[in-house]
Amino acid sequence: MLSLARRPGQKIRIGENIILIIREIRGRQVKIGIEAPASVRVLREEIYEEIAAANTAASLETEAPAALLEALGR
Amino acid sequence: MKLESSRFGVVELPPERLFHFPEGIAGLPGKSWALYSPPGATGYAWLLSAEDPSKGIVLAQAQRLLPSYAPRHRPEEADAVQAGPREYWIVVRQAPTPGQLLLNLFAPIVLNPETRLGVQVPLVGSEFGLAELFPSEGSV
Repeated sequence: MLSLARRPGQKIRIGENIILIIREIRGRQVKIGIEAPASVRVLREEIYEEIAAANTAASLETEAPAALLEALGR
Repeated sequence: MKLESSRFGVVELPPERLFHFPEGIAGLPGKSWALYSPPGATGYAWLLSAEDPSKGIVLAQAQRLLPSYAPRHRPEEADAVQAGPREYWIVVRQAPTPGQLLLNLFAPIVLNPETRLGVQVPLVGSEFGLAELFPSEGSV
């Protein structure tokens, strides 16, 4: 993993069109600004992990839940 | 095309049911997925991995299961499926309580049947959850 030391106000460029800006450092928290094309998905890692866990749990189903068939009128 | 599935054996699918997910699906392997409707299925389908026969998730057509569901996101967030019709599907699983489901309303699957591209779009900042009980407690 690449590690870079930056101060507030300094930036990191990733590729052609993604820029991270160190906005503020307060105690143990860093505020980061992100400039990226709207089509680039930016997520907090914990949100990504929650979605992944939900998808993994859903993939354990071996058949369509009976409650789903009932809700859809079958 | 033929697709092998641990749930259904070998299934025959028209090519237009195969979707490419450029961003993949979080927590699941591969980028090639097939939308398979078992015989008689209406309003739901399985999204089966074309790369791993053991992987699949149940999707419900959002409009059929929850007509009031209105996912809002910036159009660019679903750019991965490109321009064209966008179908919204909800990832469904059985809730611990019999007769109830857990719906992932926070991150619907968006499919474009014309480009055959798919993406899961997290509705960041929305009121929707990853595991919402359906029917909700109050309506059971």
